[in-house]
Amino acid sequence: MENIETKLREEAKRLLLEKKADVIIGYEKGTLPLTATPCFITIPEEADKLVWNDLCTQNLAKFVHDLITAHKNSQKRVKPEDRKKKVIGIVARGCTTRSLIIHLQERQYARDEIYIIGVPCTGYVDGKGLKVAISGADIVEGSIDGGQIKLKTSDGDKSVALKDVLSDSCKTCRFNNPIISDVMVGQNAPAMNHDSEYNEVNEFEKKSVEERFAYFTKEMEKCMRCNACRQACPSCYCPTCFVEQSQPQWVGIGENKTDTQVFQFMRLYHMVGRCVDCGSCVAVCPMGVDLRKFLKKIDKDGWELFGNRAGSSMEDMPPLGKYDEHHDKEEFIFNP
Amino acid sequence: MAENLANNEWVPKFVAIVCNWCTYAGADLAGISRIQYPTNVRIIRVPCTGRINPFYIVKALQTGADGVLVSG
Repeated sequence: MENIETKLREEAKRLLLEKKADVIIGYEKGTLPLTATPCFITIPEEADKLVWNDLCTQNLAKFVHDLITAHKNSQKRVKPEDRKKKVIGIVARGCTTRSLIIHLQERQYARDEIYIIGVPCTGYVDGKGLKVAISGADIVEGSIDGGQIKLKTSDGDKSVALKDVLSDSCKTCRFNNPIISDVMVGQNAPAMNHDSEYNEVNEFEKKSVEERFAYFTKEMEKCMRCNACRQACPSCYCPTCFVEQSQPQWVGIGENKTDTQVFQFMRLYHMVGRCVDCGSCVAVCPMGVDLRKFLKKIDKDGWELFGNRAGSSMEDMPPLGKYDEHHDKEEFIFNP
Repeated sequence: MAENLANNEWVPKFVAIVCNWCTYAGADLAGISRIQYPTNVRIIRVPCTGRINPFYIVKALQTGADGVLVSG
């Protein structure tokens, strides 16, 4: 990890000095112990702030889209020939590159507007899971050393195995190494345990309709409509989200139970063929809603019905984004 | 949920979102031919089923419909 970190800083510094990127999006040390937070580096000297460890949680592709959109908006009133091009450098792990691929496939920006610094990933720590593992004690200080997290907490010193508190989406991750990158920092990380990817979903599918709806209702009752999942999600980039639309108003803004269900239901459906299972929405949810089970089901359907995993390659277009009448599984489409 | 007053039996309430050019024409023809259809279906006519936003369906279910029929 240390090695990757030093190389990452060097690479970021080089990119900024050579003006190959105007800003580098990466992670820096968080203000709370055992956290990392996204940061934006614009001057080479600041590149030493960058970190890369098991605490880097957020999917940074979200910020790439935000920055490019903001830049494009700022250039709208400039004459076309005077418009400046901005290149965004991004520290990207497997799931981040998948999100970037989705953005590129959906023509949100051009490939040369981003510079991808690929980093191998061995999963990130699930903050809520860690809190449970130390029975809710406050973390005063912490460090990660060779697969063990050593903590100084309000209940005394504790030690937790890293692999026990990894995020659910990381434990069964299929694409933990960058799929596309301009420069790769470090060697590819070993594969995660992706054979058990759909175990949870398979179990859930076996339940009856009533049980499944009861589970959905129970989970959605926790939701307090803070929209953090939407803000964190790299695939949620509509200029006006349906939640904020008022003419017509699709979803009420109150705490009505059915409004919450409609919000989550529609957000889940907007993720068909677009969710990369980065776990950002789950990580930011303050109420611990189990969004992943539903998202994973959608992912499974995408794979089984269309043979597509969101953002798994540049050539593999999203199932709802391509028109291919000659390769449809159903005969009637091209031979009625 | 609609109540059938005659025998107090529960009858589901349906929303039918239908295309102006085919299904609505069919329903219209049924009307002209004096064929009755159940009262628990409420028809919404749209210019084309391509006009339907998935929200129409979700919204109908949210506001109390037991089923939604999209035809066209």
